Amino acid sequence: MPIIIPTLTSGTLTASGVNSIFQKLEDFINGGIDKTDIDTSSKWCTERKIVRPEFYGSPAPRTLLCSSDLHSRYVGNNLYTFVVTNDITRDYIPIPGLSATIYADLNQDESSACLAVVNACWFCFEKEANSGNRNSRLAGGSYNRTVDQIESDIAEVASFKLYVNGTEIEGTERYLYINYDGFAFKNHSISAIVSLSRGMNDISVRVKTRADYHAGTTSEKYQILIRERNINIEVIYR
Amino acid sequence: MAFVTIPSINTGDEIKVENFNDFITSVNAVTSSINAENIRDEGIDRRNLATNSVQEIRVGSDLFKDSGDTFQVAGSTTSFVPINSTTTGLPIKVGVVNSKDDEFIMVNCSFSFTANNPKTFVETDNRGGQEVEFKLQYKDYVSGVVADIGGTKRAFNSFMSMHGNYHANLRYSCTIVAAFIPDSTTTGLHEIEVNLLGMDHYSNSNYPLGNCVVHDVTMFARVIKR
Repeated sequence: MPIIIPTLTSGTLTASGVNSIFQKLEDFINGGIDKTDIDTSSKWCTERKIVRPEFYGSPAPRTLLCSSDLHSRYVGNNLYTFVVTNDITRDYIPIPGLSATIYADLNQDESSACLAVVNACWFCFEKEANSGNRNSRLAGGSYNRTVDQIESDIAEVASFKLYVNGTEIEGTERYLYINYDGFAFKNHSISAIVSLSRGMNDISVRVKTRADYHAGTTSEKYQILIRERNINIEVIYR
Repeated sequence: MAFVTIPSINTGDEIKVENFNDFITSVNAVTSSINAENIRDEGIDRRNLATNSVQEIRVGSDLFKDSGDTFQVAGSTTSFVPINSTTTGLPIKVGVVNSKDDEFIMVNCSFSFTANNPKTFVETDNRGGQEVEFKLQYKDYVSGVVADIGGTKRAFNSFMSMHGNYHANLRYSCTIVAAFIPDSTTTGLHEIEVNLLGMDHYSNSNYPLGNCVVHDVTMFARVIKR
């Protein structure tokens, strides 16, 4: 709060009076300055006045800024394609390169939670391991696919969702369908705002495979390939 | 600049009230005068900044998300219209967001959509399958301005024909992120609402038989302060 020290009148100069002046001054300097003490007649606070960011590289790339932190992960080539099949799992599992464990650096004297914006995108498709196992009538294939068997509910092979600390985030489900000889490349994206707790937080886009012949489909499900992908997480403090 | 004058008292001087009062007056004048000259470079860190002083998000009216409902795209071949819930009739939108002149509004909108071919027409030489377009539009309740947010139009279609001579369904996800500054108002204040609009039809055709529903939606807006 603003500092207000009463002026002295003649004959009032005492040790306690002098001590009182310095006590008020000490209280002001040591944490007593607030927004009413700031000059608001012009916008004088330039970038140079703000503490500089800190940049960190691999294995957990992040930029720690004054008002927010930015965490990023990516996989930039197909040497690191993530492959999953319904033999491995039929539950949601995190995708490397679309997952991050990050620290929300909230002070003890402020809220125990903050918001973060998560943006993720990835390139994915289904692919048969054996070229004879094709879900199409193209070379080597054995089926005549109708419109109801491609990009439809019965042709779904996998779905994706954003998870934060083990809880799925509403409104983030994305879908992948049978490959039809490579026609079904999918580039998916999620942009969501989530709540983080003070300390460590797990954020991941997860994938879940569908069972063979689910929902009446006649097709088997093959490998789910998740290729180039990236995620960035902006933790918002101010 | 806040500037404090310390009394200079030499050995043997008579200490007067006036010496201290000059000092007190200069200290009292500090209020509302601390500026750039009092702050060293890189002297401001997070604890000096008030909450929401850099960007402001309200998770109430500024956040829209839904995974259990579907939203019908009902635009014709020529006009975009709001995309409304098939159960409540309410549109996909965020706001009202309050901002000031020269402040950016940043909008993120991400969703899945399903455009199944209604199988009204088999393939022809010139007509394709389902075609869907989306864009963001804002309305300022202060100025009354309604305008598209530049660069946010997205379009999807399919010409792939399947066994039985119908075009394939069209299913995808779409994310639109945009920052914009609304037109200035006389008061310098804004009350912004942002809508996701859409239209659907057959590709390369005027037949307004689009069959697109949007689902798994997240949309939110934040104010970037200046």
